[in-house]
Amino acid sequence: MAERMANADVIVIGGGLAGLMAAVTASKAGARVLLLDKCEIGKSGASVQAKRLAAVGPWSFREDSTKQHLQDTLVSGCLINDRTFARVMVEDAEQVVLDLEAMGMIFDEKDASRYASPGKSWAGHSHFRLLQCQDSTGKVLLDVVRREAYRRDVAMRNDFVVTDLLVGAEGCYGAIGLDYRTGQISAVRSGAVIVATGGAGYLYARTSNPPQMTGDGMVLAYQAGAELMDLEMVQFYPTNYVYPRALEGKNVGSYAEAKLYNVHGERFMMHYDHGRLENTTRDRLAQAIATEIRSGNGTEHDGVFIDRTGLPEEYYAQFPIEARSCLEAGFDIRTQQGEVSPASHYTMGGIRTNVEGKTTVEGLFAAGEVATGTHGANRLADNSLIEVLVFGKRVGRAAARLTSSRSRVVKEDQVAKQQRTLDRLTTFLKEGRGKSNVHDAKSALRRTMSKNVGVIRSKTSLEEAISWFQEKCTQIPSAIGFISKSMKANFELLEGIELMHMLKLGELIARSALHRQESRGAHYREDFPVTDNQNWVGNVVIRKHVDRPEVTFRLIGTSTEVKG
Amino acid sequence: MSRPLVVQVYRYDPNLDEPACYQTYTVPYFENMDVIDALRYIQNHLDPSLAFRFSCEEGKCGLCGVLVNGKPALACKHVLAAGGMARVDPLPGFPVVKDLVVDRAAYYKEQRSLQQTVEDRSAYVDRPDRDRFQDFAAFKDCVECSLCSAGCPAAPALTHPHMGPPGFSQVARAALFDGGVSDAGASELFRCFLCGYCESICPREVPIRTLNRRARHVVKGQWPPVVSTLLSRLKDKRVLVGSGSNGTAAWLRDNHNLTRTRVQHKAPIGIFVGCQFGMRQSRSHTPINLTRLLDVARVQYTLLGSEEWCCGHPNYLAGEIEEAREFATHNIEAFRKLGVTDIVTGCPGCYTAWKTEYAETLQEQIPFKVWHTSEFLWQLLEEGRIALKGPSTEAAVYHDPCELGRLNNIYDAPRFILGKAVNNVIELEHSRETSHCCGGGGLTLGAHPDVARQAAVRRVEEILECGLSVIVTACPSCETVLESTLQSLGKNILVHDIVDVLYGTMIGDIDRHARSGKA
Repeated sequence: MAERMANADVIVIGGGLAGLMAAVTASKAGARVLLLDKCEIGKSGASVQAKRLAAVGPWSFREDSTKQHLQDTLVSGCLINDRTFARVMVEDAEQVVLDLEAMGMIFDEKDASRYASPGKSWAGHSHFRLLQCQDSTGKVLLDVVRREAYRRDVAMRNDFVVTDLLVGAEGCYGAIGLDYRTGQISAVRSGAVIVATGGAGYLYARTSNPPQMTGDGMVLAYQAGAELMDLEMVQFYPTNYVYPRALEGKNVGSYAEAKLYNVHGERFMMHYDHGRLENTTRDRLAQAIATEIRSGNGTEHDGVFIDRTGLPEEYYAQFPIEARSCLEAGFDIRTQQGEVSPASHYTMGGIRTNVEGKTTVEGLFAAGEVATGTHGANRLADNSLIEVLVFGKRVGRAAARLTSSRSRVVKEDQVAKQQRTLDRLTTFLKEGRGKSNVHDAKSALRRTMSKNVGVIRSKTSLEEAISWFQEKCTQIPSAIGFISKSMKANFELLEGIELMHMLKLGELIARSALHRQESRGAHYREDFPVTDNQNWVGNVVIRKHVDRPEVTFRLIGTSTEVKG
Repeated sequence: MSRPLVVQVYRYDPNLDEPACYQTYTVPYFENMDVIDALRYIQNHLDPSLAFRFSCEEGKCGLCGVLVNGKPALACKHVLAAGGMARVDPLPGFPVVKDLVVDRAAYYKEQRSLQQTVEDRSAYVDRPDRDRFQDFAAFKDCVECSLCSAGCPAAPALTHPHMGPPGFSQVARAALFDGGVSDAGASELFRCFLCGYCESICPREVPIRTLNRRARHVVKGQWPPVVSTLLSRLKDKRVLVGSGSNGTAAWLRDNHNLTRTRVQHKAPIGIFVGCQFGMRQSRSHTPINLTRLLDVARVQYTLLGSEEWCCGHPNYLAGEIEEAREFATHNIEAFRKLGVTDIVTGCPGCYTAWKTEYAETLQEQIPFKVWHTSEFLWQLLEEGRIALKGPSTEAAVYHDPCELGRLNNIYDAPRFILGKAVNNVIELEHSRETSHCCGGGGLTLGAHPDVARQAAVRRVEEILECGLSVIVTACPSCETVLESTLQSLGKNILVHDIVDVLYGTMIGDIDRHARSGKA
């Protein structure tokens, strides 16, 4: 059942854009790289859906600067970004764009003046500074970097789910996982491990994210003893379709010129943001809509009406792809109202690292949405792609550098650990004799997250969530039954592994949210609705301490730096 | 309340000692629901062990390819109808992991092997051919869903069998943008019939054939020798087949009467014979039969005789647009000075050249209306200008040539004509838009005869399953390939052109239609 896999210098877990970028960079720096993904590399995460990349470079307006991009990022982050991260991101952006072009990426016409005039604010950016490849920027970047990874001899394994990190006295030295195609469990040793498993949006019942976004890497790092940070900061995209049902889960691309109405036909944004109405920030809009629905003013599908009818044709011409998708789903935005509500979209929080991606566990790195620091309490629109590229590159390089200097005197017995993993999974499969199944359990978890740890939180809702998670963590393994008891080709088992990660992470998110007794950015407490800049300009940090979560708060600037 | 769906799903578990089977589920319907919605319902409410793969649900990740009622489709894009029934199968050509999840490891492995290291990066960014953005824009749309491979007639015999058409676009990409491609990759381009089946299925409308052709042009130095020889001969002799001092007029050799009365005369209708009909002895009865039909219908037509050059289509297939231009210019002028207004041709390759390629290569409209023989003859029949003695055979099977059907949308004219000749026109399982290539196209026959052969055998076997001995099509390439393949399988069955069938029906004996070559 256990297989010996070749060792590597650097293991990258997660084949999205951050993981691929890290793999390529590590390989260029001379490391032997193994890239693992629980589904298919370059295909099955959130990167494929990304549309635009914000970066300042020679293509930008003369009036623009990396300093302004930094400023915009910090304003959006409500003062709790790690300033160094944000600065590195905006300053390294130009070079990373050039690196990608050298790999064969071709962007649409880059010159900003082709799209806007200087000084005209664009989705929170003070100047237009976006690069794209029509509507497929993320997808095309993935293709380009994946091809580069082939050329650089990055070894790749799909359908391989990492179940544990190998951690010993000297830190992280590899990973154990299940190839669920064959049913084999393998341990792989390496000088460094980079976690790049993406965000955790799928923990919520309403999400724009694909089903793979279950936050696995955050839990792996937590279990390995690494610090997580800002977990309470989950960005909810305010307007995601609930009806027509065929569009459920899709974000409305442009809501600034839309009108929102509650079930009584009222333009309710008048009460929440009289000056900007729907053209307000994402967090405020999400909170307003959620409040409106909670107050009983929502539609029968638990949404609010969105009206983009009767606008001039130039408006619709701005997003032809979205208009066409709607038409394909039987819905014409020109003449019909849809129904929307907020959905989880991005996870600002995650694994705490320094600016080279090192976590608090020696040998363990993190990059991309799974990591944290850059975006603070609210990610600025279109800042995601550039972040994963800049830090993917940095972290790949840092990991490669480490392995060349790190001694390999680790003597831990990985065979015994493999066996323990095998035993644990076997028990997991056999133990479940319940009538419930893994999908029911996941649905229940996601409903709990949306209800209790969603857009609007309170002490009651969060404590309720925490007890729910603690209870389920012990109950669920015996409550659910698996139809197949085999390790091989058992997709229920894969979902079960994800479920156990989600149970742990859900609890950690709820604990972080409980700890922060104020509202800031994406985190909204109805019992503490005001932003408290006297006491709460800092970050909530959570880590495993003697098998229990330990939550602390650190003011900005007081956090011990993760040693480089 | 809309009627629920009945969904039949392929189930297979490698852990069980049981063969694959279908299970049927009833799924409640909501408007515009897609196959993923249905599968998700089954998994959540009816059978938690059902395995299927998807991610983005917007047609970008390419992971959810399946067969729906036998046709390749993206599960997230295929909308189901209320009260409908759908059978869902995994994509063929890949090992099944479980139920609808297939193993694409071989695909990725082969994809990796097509990459070539690009050593000098500095030149990469400022390459002068960055203006090939149009091509790049086409690449960005391929999501590697492999639906195309599921239907590709060449796929089973490709060097990289699991790559299929995505391989062509990737080789093209490497050739156009990544600094080059290996010889194996370049050769891969010619393992394609350019039959367009892939394009007709592609959910992203990737112009796969165009990309392949453009790439062929770029890798000219790495062509299979047979292709280079063919095209340089074409450049030299102006014709494709045979020894050609007579141009494509070999079929006219003994027909002094026809030569005297019809060659190089001023007339509104210009008959373009083409290399395949004009120079292959086995096919030269067809243009003769055509002239007989036209004479009976009192059509004023002219022939170019030895002035007729190859239409140039083979150049176009190799991406050699400059070369193709010469042929276009010559043939257009040859007809223009005879006052011709309409071009009629029986070869779908020539038809495509006249109909669309000439205008494209010359960047201007050509001054002719262009007809395939089946269309023209249909028109004559409608006008009552050809009297028929009625159906002379019980049944015949019709094979749609790729270049006539899928690529030019001509399906009905040949069937209409055939319907006058036989009581029953038998449709093959893969017909009309889903017709399988006979293996004769794309210059593959010369470059990779093994690939062409397996496609030909597969098509012949499908035809033979009908059990009929009257096989009809409307393309000299198809006729040649199918006939020789039948022979090689020990079946002495002729393949008729639609022109021959009509002539045979006119004279009252479909089997006696002339192979003698005399006008």
